[in-house]
Amino acid sequence: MRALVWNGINDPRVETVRDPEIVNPHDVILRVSLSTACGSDLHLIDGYIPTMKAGDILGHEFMGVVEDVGAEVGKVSKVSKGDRVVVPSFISCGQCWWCQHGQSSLCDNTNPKPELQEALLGYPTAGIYGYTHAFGGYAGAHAQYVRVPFADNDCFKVPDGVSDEQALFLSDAAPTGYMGADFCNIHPGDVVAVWGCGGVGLMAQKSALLMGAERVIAIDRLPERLALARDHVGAETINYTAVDSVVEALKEMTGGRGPDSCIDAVGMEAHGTGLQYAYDRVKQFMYTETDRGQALREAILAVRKGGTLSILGVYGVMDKFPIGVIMNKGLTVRTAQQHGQAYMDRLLAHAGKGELDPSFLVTHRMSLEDGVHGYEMFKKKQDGCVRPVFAP
Amino acid sequence: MGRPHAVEGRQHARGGLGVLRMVGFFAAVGGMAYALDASRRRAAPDEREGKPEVERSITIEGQTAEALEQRWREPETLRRIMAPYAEIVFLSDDRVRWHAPHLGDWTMRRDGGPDGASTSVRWISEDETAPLREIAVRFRDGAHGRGSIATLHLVVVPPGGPLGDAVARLFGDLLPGAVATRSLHVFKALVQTGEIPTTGGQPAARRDTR
Repeated sequence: MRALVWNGINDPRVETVRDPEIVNPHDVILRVSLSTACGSDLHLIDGYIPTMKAGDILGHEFMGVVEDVGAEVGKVSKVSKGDRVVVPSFISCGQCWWCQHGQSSLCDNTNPKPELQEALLGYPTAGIYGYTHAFGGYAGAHAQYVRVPFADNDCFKVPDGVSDEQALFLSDAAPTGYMGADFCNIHPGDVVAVWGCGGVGLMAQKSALLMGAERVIAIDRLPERLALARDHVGAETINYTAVDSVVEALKEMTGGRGPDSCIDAVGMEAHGTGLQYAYDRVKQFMYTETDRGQALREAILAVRKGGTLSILGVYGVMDKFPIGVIMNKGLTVRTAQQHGQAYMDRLLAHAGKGELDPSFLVTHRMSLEDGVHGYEMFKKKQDGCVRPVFAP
Repeated sequence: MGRPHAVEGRQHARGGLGVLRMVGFFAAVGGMAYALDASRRRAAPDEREGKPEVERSITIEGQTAEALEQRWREPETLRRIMAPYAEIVFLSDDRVRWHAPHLGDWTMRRDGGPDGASTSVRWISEDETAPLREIAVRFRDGAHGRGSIATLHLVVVPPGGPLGDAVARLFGDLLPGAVATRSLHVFKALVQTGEIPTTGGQPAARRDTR
């Protein structure tokens, strides 16, 4: 089969590889219909996340059709050959304490290399498709086929009224954003500020409104992305390059109080300005830290006293993290990799009713064969690219 | 004509810089992780008869200690858990032959356990030169109904004589600890899901070693 693989920093290639096979009895083989690039994939492309190996297949956001099933699949009448399904990015067994408590990205049973994460994180977390050997080394889904473990738990049938492009983003961008809004514990009248108008940020904005936020304020610098936030989400917007201070702008917009919750949907490769940004760039270049924390630090300062900070951005090691600001402002911090399995039924229901249609994120449709070009456009934000979608 | 060479030069430089960046990352993150793990520095590895020991625990939900012990006693369980490290053949219910690539062969016998507790399984090497001198697992109930706790205890003697000992002291329980961690997670996955998570044999754009 053809697949988009990682061959080193800034060196993705489309190559021919062997087809996946059923390995364990709860596996299925999915014929991938669509996959898309995620902002966190850029951290792999740019070499900021360790333990990738040359030849690894990329891609963790996908949907498709069940092509083959393992011996134990379907015994609970959930998944069958021919089913059109969407699969969350993190692999979850459904049996351990974390899966049973709605924390599927912390599954204790799906990382074949728990000792790698234990050394770095203290405890291992779940495996994920196409995202380093520390996270299990699973082959990704920028391919014609992908093996999906624990299919009865992780494959969600797409109802007839939901298109492939709508379902695709329920794999990662939508549940991530939805979880980020859920973390804010939104009450009537709440103002939620969201840093980032990429796929995850736009989904977080939309989800916050769905959950009852009075206002959502979106922060970015790209005019076409801010337009998506205004036109497709209904958010107010701040172009951070057009204001002296985002923190002061948010204070003015909230009567001096500050947003009740701030969601960071930017992550480790934040763009910024000034000495702090230059400092981060140099340290990141020298690999003495992995993160440019401009957006996160700004969110920490901007959120009201006693408010909630919801962190969706992917981070590694950050220098100059203002823990004292968090402590002295009495903030609640909630963060996680997405627990897609816990949210999927709700997301499919929202999508079926037309309340959440993520298909507006698709700005470029192309063959998987053009995957390298797609990632180039995505990385450099060329031609207004928000999400390239690949069809094998 | 100069452009292709310049491109190659940039690629080599980028590759070399990439290596430096990776080394720097692991030094920074690994050093941070090591420094943060104060317990590792405070407590030197315990030693029995001068040999390093390591112990790790895991909580397995939905299982009694007795059920876990019965599962651990099944020959297929030990064989599958240790498969990444050694081939195991049961000579009898109480004797097992180990074959580890590059480390050799040795035999272990089942012992009643240090305190004769019913929910423990202990294997002791019959060969004083074996790299694995003891592997013991004990099981007990967890608190507040949160399943049962399996504790794996390894006594490992590194090969290589004095040099091997020096390397083992330098890294403490890092390597045997990794073996213990993975073994316990494999056991938990077997018990809770019936399968071991694996990426063996999956497709990748590199040489197929199957």
